[in-house]
Amino acid sequence: MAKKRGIPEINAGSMADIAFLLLIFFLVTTTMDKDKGIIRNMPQKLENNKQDIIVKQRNILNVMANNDDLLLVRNEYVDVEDIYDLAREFYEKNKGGVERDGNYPRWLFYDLNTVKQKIAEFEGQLKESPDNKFIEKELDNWKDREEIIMNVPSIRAKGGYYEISKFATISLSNQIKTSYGLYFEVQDQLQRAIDDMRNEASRELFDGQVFTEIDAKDERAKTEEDILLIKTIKQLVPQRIAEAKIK
Amino acid sequence: MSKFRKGGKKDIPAVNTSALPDIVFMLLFFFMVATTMKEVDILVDIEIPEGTSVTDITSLKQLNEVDFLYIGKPMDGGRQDLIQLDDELTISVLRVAQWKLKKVESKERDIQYIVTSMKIDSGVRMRLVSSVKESLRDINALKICYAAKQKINQ
Repeated sequence: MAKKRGIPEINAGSMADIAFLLLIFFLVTTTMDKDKGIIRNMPQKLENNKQDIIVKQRNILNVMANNDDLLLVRNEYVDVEDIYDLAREFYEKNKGGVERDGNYPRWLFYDLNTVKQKIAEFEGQLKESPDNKFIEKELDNWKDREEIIMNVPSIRAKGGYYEISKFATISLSNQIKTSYGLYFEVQDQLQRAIDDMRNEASRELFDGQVFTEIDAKDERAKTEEDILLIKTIKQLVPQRIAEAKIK
Repeated sequence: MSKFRKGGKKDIPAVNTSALPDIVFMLLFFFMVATTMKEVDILVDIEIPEGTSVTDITSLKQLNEVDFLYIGKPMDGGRQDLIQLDDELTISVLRVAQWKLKKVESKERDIQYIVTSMKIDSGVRMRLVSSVKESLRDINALKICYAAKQKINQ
């Protein structure tokens, strides 16, 4: 019986070799480990930044790390692990507007009327001095508050919300021989404290949604609700970490 | 005993390797998907710190919006902490600003959105770290990332 002659089969014997070659290339040039880290935005450099701003002691959480890697918080020696609790205490001592301790920042209630009044006030000021960056910034801030009260259902129902004093700041200072390891651990503890507080706030106000998950989304994948949530939570639990110049 | 077994020594039949390419391709695809390209060959000895609340910046990296710099002691000896910028080792923080500006030139986005991820050894002193940060601040490269590993426990 005569066989029909087709196109001869291609020899695939070296296919494995080619695939191996590619595989080995990828093994050598790539890494498995994910890139992770703490993201920080440094403040812009200002040209004439000479004026001293006087802030009350109660609004500052002073964290100092010295040359011997010892930590000093509000003039007391502490361990790195304590920073988490101290930061939370600093934020939450007077939470909800109840004055429990005069050494910690105040919480203020913002309702729609006050916010509207303030907006009108700053708009008037801006008309008088149109190029004042400070007034512009204040105005934007008040407008954000208005947006929050108007658009977040759970806040709207209450007629307003409590926010920590705008002066409340965590101040971080190092010396030249402080090790980066310690500096990082302090940053990490502060970040964890703030993340936890933000997640708690967003669970409460936004039906159990988790702030850090939404914030981690890709910029292009965020919906309008996500953006409002992020804005609100950042206003309610602000992250103000000031770093002093190294001594 | 049976009629199939007649005459001559038979060799052990060859193992069928026709599925080998499939297996290797599968491995290949796995590695292509699960890994990312190495940025550079690291010339300094770095043990980055571990943190509990770190963010993943892989998505930014894939968009080419992250630059990496490394600070640590050089691997070929030497006791002074050095900064590695791509393939260059330096102690001059002025080079950091020049390097960053050059890196940003080829990118679409503005310098203030481009993250500078700093992989710094835990033992490096803050003097060097601060001056690097300060020099990035001078050129308005404000977004930085302290690279760290995820702490596994708790």
